[in-house]
Amino acid sequence: MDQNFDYLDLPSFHDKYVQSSESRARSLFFVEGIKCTKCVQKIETQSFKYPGIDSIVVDIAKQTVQVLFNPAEIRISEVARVFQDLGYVVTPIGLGSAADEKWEEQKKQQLLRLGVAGFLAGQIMMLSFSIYFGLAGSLKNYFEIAQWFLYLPIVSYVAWPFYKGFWVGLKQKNLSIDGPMAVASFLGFVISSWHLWKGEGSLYFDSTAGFLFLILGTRFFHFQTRNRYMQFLKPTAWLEDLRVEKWESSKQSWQWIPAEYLRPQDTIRLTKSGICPADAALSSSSADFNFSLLNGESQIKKCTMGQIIPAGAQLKSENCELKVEKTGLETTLGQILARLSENQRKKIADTNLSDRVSQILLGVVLVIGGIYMAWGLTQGSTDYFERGFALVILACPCAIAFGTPLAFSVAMKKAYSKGYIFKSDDVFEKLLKIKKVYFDKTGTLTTPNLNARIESSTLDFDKLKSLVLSLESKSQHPIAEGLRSLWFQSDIDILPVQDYSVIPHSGVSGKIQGREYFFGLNLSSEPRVFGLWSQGQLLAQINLDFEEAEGLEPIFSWLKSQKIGVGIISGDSKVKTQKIAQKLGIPESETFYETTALQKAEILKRHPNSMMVGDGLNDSLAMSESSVSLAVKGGVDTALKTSDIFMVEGDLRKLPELFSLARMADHILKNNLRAALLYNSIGAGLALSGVASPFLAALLMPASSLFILMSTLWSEKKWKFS
Amino acid sequence: MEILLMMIPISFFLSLGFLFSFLWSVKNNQMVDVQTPAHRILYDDQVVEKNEGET
Repeated sequence: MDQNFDYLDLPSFHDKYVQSSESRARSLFFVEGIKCTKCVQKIETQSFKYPGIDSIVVDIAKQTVQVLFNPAEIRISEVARVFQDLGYVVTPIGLGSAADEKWEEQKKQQLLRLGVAGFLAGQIMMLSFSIYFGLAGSLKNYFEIAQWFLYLPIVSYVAWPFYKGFWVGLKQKNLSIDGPMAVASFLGFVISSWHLWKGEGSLYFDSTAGFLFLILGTRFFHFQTRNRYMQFLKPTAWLEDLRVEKWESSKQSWQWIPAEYLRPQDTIRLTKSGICPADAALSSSSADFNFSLLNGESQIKKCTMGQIIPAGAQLKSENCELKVEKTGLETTLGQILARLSENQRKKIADTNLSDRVSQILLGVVLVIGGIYMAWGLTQGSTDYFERGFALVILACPCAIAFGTPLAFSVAMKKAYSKGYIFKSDDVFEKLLKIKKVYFDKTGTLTTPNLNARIESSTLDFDKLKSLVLSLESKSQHPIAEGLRSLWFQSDIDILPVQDYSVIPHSGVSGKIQGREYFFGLNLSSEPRVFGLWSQGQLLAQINLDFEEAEGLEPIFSWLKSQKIGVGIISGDSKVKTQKIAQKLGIPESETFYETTALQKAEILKRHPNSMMVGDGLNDSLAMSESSVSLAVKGGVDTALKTSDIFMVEGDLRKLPELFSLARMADHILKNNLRAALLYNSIGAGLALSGVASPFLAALLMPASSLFILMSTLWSEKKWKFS
Repeated sequence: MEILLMMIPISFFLSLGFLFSFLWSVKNNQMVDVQTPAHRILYDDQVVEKNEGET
């Protein structure tokens, strides 16, 4: 598909996508499909071929390409075309949006904090261990004082995010996992300092420093893996990246501008198949719109003057003019998207099993620890106080706090390397409960290639092609697309069509050279074929069939062997749906044909714990009703808005891997939870009976985390994918 | 035990050196992309030479 990048040279786009100073300019592109060394090399070496391009830097993880160029020598549209000519799908990205910069800054801060924590914890442990191994006398004293100094930056700088998290959680009446970290770090400092001052009692600098470092480390790792995918989910990014023609009254002309710059009361013009970038009132007399993005129905609706067209609606008729009412987040779509991403964030925050476990454990530990400490204070004995404190350090659910994000990060990373993008952690858990998988037919079980067989025709082939392609020229339906790629040649005349209209689920009609034509399903024939009529007379009958995707049978037998039911839901005719269902061994009772978008959603609602496999946008409604949804087509950004998992290569034959991934995540998670619980109960027992010495705490703490880390990495490595 | 008086400061300053080189690399954006450079070193030698010649 050729994209036209000329609009990028217009001033308002240039401002958005190019950051320039004198003779140097910087632009950022999202380039889909950079996977290997070859791609990196192919793209980066382009800078030698084009004068004006100073450097090209690829970021393989983010799939972005940053270009430094001289705007006097090469235009940004030409730069974009360079990558397109190499065969990539290119999207310019606005440079350094505030959110991105904030994120980069946050990442840097976390890394700095992590570095400092690692260094200090290492130093403290070195000093304390020499004491455990028998150092005595004045040297011991110096070493203890040195530990105190080294701990100062930890209690203030390193532990700061935990204090903050604890406080924010408390304000929302929520016991956050930051609690024990904050308590331990601060109390550890107070108690140890007191003991140091008195010259007797134990020091806890080493164990607290050690666990703060380990927790910070896993958090960073998790933050990183998760954020890579979350960046696709910025609520309005998609709306803002649209472009539209706006009436500039000062210049008395239409100007292309980025949708981001639209303001209420602006007059805009949409061209055919353009997407409305704002909630706007129609000022042309009438126009046809498709609202599939908003309600999942791919029906086309006729709208009349004054009607509010919501952002995201796609124009299906010729040009129309609109007056902008609401933009960006204020639009209906913007609000839906914002809510979606909000839900997403909440979902990630607290839905999975381990979170619930750690919440309970955390409460128990804090209560028991608190009772012991209070008891100790009232009795004037520091012994119980210490036991309570040792409990918080030893038995705090940090092994869980450590094990869970680690398990999911590893699983997400593995998924990414296998070509899946998971929207959130809980999808792994849900995947395991799947009892049934429903497939969409067109576009999922079939290829975009169309086969056409002429059943009967009174016209010669070229005339037939010309008429059908003219009628379908305005349609974006997969059949229209398929016919175009099958039949279109330069010598075929595409004739102008008047009074064009779409009859949903049936066909298209229009006037060509003064004659009425209709091309669509012949409902009276069985099996159903497509017919071309002119003024009530049947001119030709054509059997249209999408080529079935090859090699899918093993997947279906595999699913059955896993006791997972299969079904097919299609909007297509009975015969075609049944044919493919029979071939793939889908039972009659699970074969649904001639369904509308709403009926599809209804079916999924009736079957809880089912997975919907389809293409991102068309099946959005059904996908939102399913327990887990898998998108095999469409861009990452749009697909992830409606589905839980996106399959980068769209190859269904890899489906067993997906379930295997979920089992791997589950296996690692449960292993980690078991290990953590075992460790916690032993630790708690030791602490409360007063046996736990600081040495034991310092030893057990990193040992348990190390054990969890090793077992996670080991399980991931050894996991056999089916 | 006297050996500790020498070993501890040495190890302290050694790791301080590591810490500062790490902080320096973070501040210089070397941790922004940790994947692509690993691919870049696999380029053909020829290209690397050309690259050096141009910049």
